[in-house]
Amino acid sequence: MVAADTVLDARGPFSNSRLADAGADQGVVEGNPVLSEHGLVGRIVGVAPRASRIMLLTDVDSRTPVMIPRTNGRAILSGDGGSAPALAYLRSHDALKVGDRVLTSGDGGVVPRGLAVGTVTKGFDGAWRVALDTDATPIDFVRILLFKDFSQLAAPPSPGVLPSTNTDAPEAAPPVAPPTPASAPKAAKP
Amino acid sequence: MIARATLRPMSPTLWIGGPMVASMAASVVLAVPVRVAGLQAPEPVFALVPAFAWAIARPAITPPFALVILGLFLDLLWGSPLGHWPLCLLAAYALIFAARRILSGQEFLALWGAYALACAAAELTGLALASLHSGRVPGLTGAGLQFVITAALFPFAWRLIERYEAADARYR
Repeated sequence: MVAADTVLDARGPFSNSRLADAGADQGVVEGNPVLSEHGLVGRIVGVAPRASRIMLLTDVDSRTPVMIPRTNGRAILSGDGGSAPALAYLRSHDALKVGDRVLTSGDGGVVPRGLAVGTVTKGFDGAWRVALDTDATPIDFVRILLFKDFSQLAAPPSPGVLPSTNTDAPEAAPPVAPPTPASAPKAAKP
Repeated sequence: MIARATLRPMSPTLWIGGPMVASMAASVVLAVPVRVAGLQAPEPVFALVPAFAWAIARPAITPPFALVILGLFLDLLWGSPLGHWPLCLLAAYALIFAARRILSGQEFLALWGAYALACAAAELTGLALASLHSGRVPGLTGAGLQFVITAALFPFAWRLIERYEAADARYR
């Protein structure tokens, strides 16, 4: 995990992104999730030696697989330039309720499962939206999770087994919500 | 008629480069993530100011290229797909350029209305391009807010046009 300061902020209708002062020299690669102290902020979409661009969850191009722990429902968090991204492709046997927690589902391997995202709310347009946890405070300092795929979440190797050659494993646990029985992480495939 | 002694020289470099640098600097300053009383600074499109003034005061071959450079700079600064803002700025420039004969010599408020139309053209172009790129229509609230804030910058464009009108006639 790499700590970084965000130095530029694009908050227009067509792009919501930030520039962070950590880049390839610190091991950051495209696709790395970015967290604040409250939860998921976005992911890395561009990397320079000492800077990287974070696409926020609110960006119109942002799509993030999420889950609702209460119902184990799945959805795609879809940004539209506004402050509360919409929940699209909702798949659940039970309707959503205002106030439901929203976590990353980890589907597709883009981000780890269980990162805090926000709470369900109803938008003015009647669509289900998510009030992001990261709106609680300004996003100044962020942590870039050096996460690439599920193989990094595997249990540490037992003695006598050669360690993985991947050196980008996260050094500290991200701010994850407590796992529910339905959302417990599965063992990674070899 | 303005007396010859009061005319100030204005080179093409100053006429094109000055507004370019100023709008770039203003965009960078407003992109700094600073909150005042919990509120973020607005994000207007400063580049629409010279786009309007260049089309009204002195159409030439250079301004469209300058707008492409300005647009690419905004794309890199704001993280838009490359080519997004150049097309938005050129759409606004083309609209004003087409109506230049009607707009030349108009009063302050009439030009402000034309400038607002140019801002609307740029925002609508941006909405169309972003929709094509992402497969989803961006929220209209953000575009509307940016339109209002950008339209409020017209006094800067008026000042630019006045500055050109008061410049050395040899440049015309």
